[in-house]
Formats: sequence, C-alpha cells, structure tokens
Amino acid sequence: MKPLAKQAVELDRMIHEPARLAIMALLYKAEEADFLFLLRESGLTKGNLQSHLARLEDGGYIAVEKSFVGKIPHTVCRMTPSGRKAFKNYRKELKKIAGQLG
Amino acid sequence: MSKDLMDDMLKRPVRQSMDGLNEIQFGIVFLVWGIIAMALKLWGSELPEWMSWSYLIVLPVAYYFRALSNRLRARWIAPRIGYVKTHSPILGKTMIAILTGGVIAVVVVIAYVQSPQLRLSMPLEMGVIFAVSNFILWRWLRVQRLLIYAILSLASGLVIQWMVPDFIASETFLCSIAVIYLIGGIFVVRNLIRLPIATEDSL
Repeated sequence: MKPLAKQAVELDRMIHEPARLAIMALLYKAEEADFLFLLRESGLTKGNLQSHLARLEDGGYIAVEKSFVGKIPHTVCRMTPSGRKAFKNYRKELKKIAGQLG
Repeated sequence: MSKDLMDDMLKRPVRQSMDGLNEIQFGIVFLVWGIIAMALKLWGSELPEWMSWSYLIVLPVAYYFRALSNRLRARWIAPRIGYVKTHSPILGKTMIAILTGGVIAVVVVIAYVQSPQLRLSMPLEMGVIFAVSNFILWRWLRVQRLLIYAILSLASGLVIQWMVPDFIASETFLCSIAVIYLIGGIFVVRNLIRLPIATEDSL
C-alpha cells in the first residue's frame, strides 16, 4: 500500500480544488445542467464559476455548450466520459485515504 | 469538502427535479383513478361498459402528462432555479428499485385477489405502503415535505380504515392521497413561481 502522503499528492489536482469539486459533484449525477443551476447550488460567484468551468472544459472534464434562448444566453454543461471516469477515480482514492485515516 | 457535503451535492440534481410538478402529475392520476373507481362502485350497473376499462386509458395519458410537465418546467421553473436533466434509469439503482417495486406491487395484487381478509384492511395497508415509500425517499433526498406526505398517508389510511364504509374505503384513500399530492405540488410550484426570473446576464 502506498504511503498516505503519496496517495494524497497523487489526487487529481484539477478536481481536488473545492470549487471544481463542487461543480463536478453537481454534474456527476446529472446528464446536463445549466449555468443557473450550478451557480445556485455551488454558491460561487458568476465570474468564479465561469473561470472554473473554463478550466474544467480545457482539461476535458466537462463540455460546455453556449446557445441563446431568444435573446438570452444559455450555457449548458455536461460531464464528458473522461471527466466521469476521473471523478469516479477521485472519489475512490479519497475514500481510500479517508478509510486509512479512520 | 466533507463527505456529507459531497454526498449532498451529488443528490442535488435529483432534488432539483422534485419541483412539485411530479406531485401534481401523480395527484391528477390518482384522483382520476379514485373517481373512476368510486363511480364504478356506486353506479356500476348504470354506467356504460367501457367505463370499467377506463383505468387503462389513464396510463398512456399519464405518460403524456410528463411531456406537458416538462414543458411547464422549462417555461416556469427552469428560468428561476436553473435547468438540470438527470440520467434516465437504465441499469442503475433507480431501475432496480423500480423493478423491485413492480414485483412487490404484483405480489400485493395477487395477495388481494386471493385473500378477502387483506382486502378489508386495504386503506390501512395502502397508507403504510405510501408512508414507507415516502419515508425512504425522504431519507435519501432529505426533502422535508416527503416526511409530511409519509405522515399524512399513514394518518389518512388510519382514519379512512375506521371512518369510511369498507365498500368504498380504498377509493376514498386513493382520492385522499391525490389531494395530498396535489396540494403539496401546487404549494411548491406556487413558491417557485414567486421567485424572480434569473438570466445569465442578470446574475
């Protein structure tokens, strides 16, 4: 078994950041969700959420689709298969660490 | 982020989809079923033959209610609290729960057909089934009104069992459950509609 510190260091840093972890957790059980839902449920500010969504999109964890409903912009996010796999692994690793800590 | 908070975050998409419209949908279906069943019991001989099949007509209509409630959700609810689409159950825990529920329902129906004793206490048994289902859902999602539904289901099962004549007790129970769900659903939708519309520009 790897030492605890090594396991902690090897956690996916992209997901481990609290705001991005919240976004990933919110999207994990959803097929897709819009910006307003993520904003309300994550408690982040608009700018903060936008920047974290951009980072997750750049990392290939989520897909962001921007469109217009009438004249109103509408952003829909969904987790990519690789993002889903990464989040699953992250949870598994985190559970292992938590288990070792007792 | 603590484990509890992450578990809570994971449940939020499902919790969001409990926006009252589902309860209104169930409420309408139960109410129509209850009224049909009551009409058949009270005036069965005077009603046309097709009325005894009208239970089945409600099912496809109920399915199309889903389309209608999705449109209402997109128009009224999503602009206020956001849009989220949950995974359709394929082989996950939800599907296993639905299949288990279906098997239990078939077993219960067969038991009722076989035993007149069970039929006599049907409102109470239905009250317990509704109460337990709502309680399990409440434990999972922590939506407070599900606990209220559980208590009211059990209470109406008990009251109807003792106060309403046996020949019409099950139908009365179905109508009372319908009213509970309809009132709950309308109350939730009304509260959501009162929220201001939020767009990405206005946030």
